[in-house]
Amino acid sequence: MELLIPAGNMNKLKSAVQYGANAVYLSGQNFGLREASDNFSLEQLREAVEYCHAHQVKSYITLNGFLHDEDILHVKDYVNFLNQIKADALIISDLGLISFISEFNLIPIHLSTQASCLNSSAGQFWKKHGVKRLILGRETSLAEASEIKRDTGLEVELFIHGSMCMSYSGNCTISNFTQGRDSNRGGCAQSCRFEYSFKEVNEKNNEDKFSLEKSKSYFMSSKDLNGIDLIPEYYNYKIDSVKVEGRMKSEFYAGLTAKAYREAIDLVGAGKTMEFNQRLPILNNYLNKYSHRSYTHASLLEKAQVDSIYDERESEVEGQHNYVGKSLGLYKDNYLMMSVKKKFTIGCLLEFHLFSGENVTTKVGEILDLDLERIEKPKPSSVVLIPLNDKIPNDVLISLVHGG
Amino acid sequence: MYRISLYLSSIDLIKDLASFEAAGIEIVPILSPREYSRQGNSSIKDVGQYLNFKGKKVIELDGLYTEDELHEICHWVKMVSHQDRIHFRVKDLGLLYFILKETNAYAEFLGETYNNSFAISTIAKFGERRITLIGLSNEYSYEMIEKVTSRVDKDIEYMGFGPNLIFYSPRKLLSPLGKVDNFSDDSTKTIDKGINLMGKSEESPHKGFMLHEGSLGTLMYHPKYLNNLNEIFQLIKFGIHSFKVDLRMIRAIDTLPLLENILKFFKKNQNETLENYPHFNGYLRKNKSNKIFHKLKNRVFEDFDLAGNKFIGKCIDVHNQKYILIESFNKDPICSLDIAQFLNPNGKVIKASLEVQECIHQSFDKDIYRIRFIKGVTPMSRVYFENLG
Repeated sequence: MELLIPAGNMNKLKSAVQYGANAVYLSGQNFGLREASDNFSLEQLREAVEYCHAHQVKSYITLNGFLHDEDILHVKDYVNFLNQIKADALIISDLGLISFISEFNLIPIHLSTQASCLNSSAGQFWKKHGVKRLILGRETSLAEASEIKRDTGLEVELFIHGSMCMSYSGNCTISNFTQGRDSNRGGCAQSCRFEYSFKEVNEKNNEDKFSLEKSKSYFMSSKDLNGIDLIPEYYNYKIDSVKVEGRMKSEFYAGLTAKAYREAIDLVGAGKTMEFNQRLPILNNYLNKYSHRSYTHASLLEKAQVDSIYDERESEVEGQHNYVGKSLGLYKDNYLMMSVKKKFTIGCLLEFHLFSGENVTTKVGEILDLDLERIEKPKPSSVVLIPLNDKIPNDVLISLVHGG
Repeated sequence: MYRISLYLSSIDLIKDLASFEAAGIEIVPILSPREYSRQGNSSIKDVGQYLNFKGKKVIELDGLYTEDELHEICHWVKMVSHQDRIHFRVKDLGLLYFILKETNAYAEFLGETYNNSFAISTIAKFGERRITLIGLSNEYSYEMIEKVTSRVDKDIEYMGFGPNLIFYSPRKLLSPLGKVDNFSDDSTKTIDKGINLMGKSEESPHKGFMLHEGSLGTLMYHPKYLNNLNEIFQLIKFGIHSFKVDLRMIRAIDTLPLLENILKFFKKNQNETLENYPHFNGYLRKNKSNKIFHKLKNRVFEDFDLAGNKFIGKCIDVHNQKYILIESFNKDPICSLDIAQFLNPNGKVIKASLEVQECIHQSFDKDIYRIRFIKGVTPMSRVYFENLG
């Protein structure tokens, strides 16, 4: 079973790969759904694919916006470039694009979840149009995914973790109307996370009245998906690939999610179910270290119900840790060189998230610059030295433990 | 001859349509059984009564269906499809595929999320003669409509008048907000009548939304009706011969007078007013294509790459005007006197000769160099060797 992790930029991609992804998905500058993400320039795409292949990891490139005629006419050179750099698959939602590139594209096509493929009959339609893998809509249950795989003979990919759309993917245009930003061409403004108030419009008689307990609500905001405890089910139902959402999220998210799911998949894949069950609280703890909304199984087992709505303000979400930086290796044998992303101070507790196995924690006694002069509070986007006895590999993610 | 695909709030209103017959206009009332449609105006029990009306029979099943839901619907479709020349109006590609493969019925396809002529023509080819009509997204401009009608030899439908759907959720979002003794605990009532509310947000510039919840989830509409009635004859010139008129949210008592008003637009080509119904005039004269949200964050980098400059790495520290650290992904070493270009995150370019103080770290995929401070270079700037070719 493939573990597929999002890669919004090169740093996130490297974290995903180092922490155990089998495949990553990423986007160029155009034709994707995340225009606000860093995304990759053409040269970076080439570099990213080469990096992935050097680590036996597959790279899937998203072209999953709903395109207009003029967009499609510009896509030919880009697809030819992706053929040339040997991308492993294209993630596409647009039927027009699939039909347009069918004559010259050599890369396998994975149908994006944006196309809302929810049943095997739709799968048959897409199969006839050259699709090799179905990334099923988030409304699909595990049992249904298995049925679709059986009936179509196609690979199936199913989400296992991350933010959820409350709408059927690809069927929401709130951003288009409220912000002038095209939801399905990279401009989603996340209007579903706003607070809404309501009033009655059907007031003909009291019997028809819909009395509200609350006049205000975050009624369109979904809880986040977390299916780590269902990994055995994903295996039983023979899901080919498990997908983590979140190209806009941090490299800390990409790394920790990859680490937790890598271990879970390896344990279950090796038949070590008892060990998996024992490790589950620790693996879930990894997934609680970064900020997230409350978790739900959404529709994996049965149709998402009322308890899948996250009726809270976004800013109230907080993780147990703050991502503060990344290790860059040893300096003069005694110091760990650290690239700083966020402020931390002397005396705080840092956790080093090793690529596998137990993490290392240490209380910061001293922070130095490269001239070995003392720093009190390192600035973001700088490099500092920390005296450390443990040997920490390069590129290990480092977090600040709240209350530590 | 042009057609009006007419949605009424209740099947009972269909019998009154005879008085609206007019030469050159075919009024096709659409049956939307609430069990399988997003916004029902009837029940599957009403199909028998509907089939007794004269004229074309179109049953709308416009949801997106999971595997289990589709099994149930397909079973029902198979039973009903024996009726002579029945048309199913669908959105789900799986249901379309089933109808074309497993029944002899005709299909109308709602291509509301298909924004290009390539997709519409692929659908048209796939269905051959059995797909008789394709409905376009309400966002199409004249320019886009022309592209479709010139490529696709099918009846193409566009919105004439009605609520403009902007969100379709598979979950029921309103029921949980209601009082248990009134609505939320009584699913039968929800299915029968649906819930209608007006939603509003303080956090964005929009004024409000009409919300409707039925058995298939919650739908959100633009607060005003989309009105293209003044454009009908221009649309006909662009190849549109079928118009959707959706009056499902209009009270039964107001429906026929409003329909009479609407038909005047079709008959006389003169401006009528629909003052009682707040409306907006759509997107026909705007090409929304050019209004994609672009965050230009990385485009300046792409231009630099395309100019043939060689990307070396990034500045990971600019320290107190003393030194700069460069994380280099270049396989060749960086040397003193190399000329580099620093592209700052704000797009400013600094060109300078490097003075390497030491290589402080080497690994298989990157090296870190400490170089002498260069004025104007900021953290996170990208480092290139210039294309001298």
